[in-house]
Amino acid sequence: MAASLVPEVYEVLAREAHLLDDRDYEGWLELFTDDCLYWMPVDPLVEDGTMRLNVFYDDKPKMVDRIARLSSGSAYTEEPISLTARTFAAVQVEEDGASDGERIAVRSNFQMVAYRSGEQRVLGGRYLHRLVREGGVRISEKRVTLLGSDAPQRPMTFLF
Amino acid sequence: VSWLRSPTPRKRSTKVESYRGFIFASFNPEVPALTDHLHDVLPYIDRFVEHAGDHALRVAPDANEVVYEANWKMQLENNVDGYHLSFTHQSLFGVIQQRTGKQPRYLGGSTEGAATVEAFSNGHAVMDLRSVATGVLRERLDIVPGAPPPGSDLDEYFGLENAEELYLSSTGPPMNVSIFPNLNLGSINICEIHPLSVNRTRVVLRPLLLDGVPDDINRVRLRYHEIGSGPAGFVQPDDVEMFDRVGLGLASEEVEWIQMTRGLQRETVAADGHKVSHISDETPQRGQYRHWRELMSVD
Repeated sequence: MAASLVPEVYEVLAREAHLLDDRDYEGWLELFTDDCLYWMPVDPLVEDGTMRLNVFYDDKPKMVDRIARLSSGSAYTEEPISLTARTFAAVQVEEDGASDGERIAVRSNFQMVAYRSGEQRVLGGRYLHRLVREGGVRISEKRVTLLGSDAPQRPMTFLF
Repeated sequence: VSWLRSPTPRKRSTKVESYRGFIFASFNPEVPALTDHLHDVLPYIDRFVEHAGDHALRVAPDANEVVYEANWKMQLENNVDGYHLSFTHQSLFGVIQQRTGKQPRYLGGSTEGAATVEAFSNGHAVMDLRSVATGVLRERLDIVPGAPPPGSDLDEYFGLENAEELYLSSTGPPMNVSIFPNLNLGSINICEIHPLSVNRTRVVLRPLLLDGVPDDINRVRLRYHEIGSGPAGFVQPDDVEMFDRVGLGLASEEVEWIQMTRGLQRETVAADGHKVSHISDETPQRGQYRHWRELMSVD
């Protein structure tokens, strides 16, 4: 059953990727439910980030703040802005009961190239998307497990 | 099977001492006793450690770490620099204003009653925001994800009496205590400065949690720390960007000197000899470089 959902899920993930790379922040926000969570743990093995330190752990209001800051002209790590292009693959719908017709958990791998001031960086890791049917399909949780999230990093204030 | 092990590391005599749970080490066996080195800032360290009353501080199991492309002293200067706040971090203040409708202000026009910077012996320094920061930091708590909604009964929310005091301690003591050469205690974190090379530096920020409090208190502390810190925070990346830019500027061979005289005409000397000035002045940085020059000079 879960495998039959992959084409629909793939469409949502591709739409999200393009919205992010186009820096269509408002369009990206609309993909998320109001009670959503967008987060990146420091420790890649953490299941629940509530009582742990994260690289970011945003509820929807903080995602709005994040975007307002990026658009302010005074978030200097993004002046000039980072251009990004991301690909994702190995999309798999979880079979362990986390997915039914209404709620779906999806794993994928991603690779993102970020370009700024003459330099290309490659960042990679794994996504976990939890999707719900709410009108269309919307994202209730997006977890980004970045390779090296627990190691020293250069600023990464663009969106994953 | 000791022959299988890697060779014994080169033996270096290390001197290790601790104060209030902070462990200090030096490879220099001639280094002064720790409390002699810390001397003037001991009361400030005490105040930092005691910022949540009787609750002991506990280091969180994870840290935020960033790397910047400039000299380690950029971060040392930054921790006690009040001048950059309203420029470098204006995007954070913009977010807070948008969310709370209040304009966060650190820099008053007049010197009287304003926040101060202080330069102590041995290159230590303090930026003291106590006179201006309480309201500002309270507003910052209002944008913490999962914080109690404004106006809620805090005792009921956290399930304990006098929860407000503990909740407000989530922002830490409103001062930065800069301990020469590579440590800063400020907000609710320990900041370590690790030079990797002359123009590359690793900065580690470890948030501090409290012992003997409900999880919700420590959860707010973690979320508060995450607002600013780390490579995707709303504060630290902009500092990193400035360090990179300053590093580029300093690499220029055209100009040999930079000026560091801001506020020189109005700083005052306290009875014990340390220097005090308005938060926007370079008094701490002059103290840091004075001590650095002393250590780096050969008689």
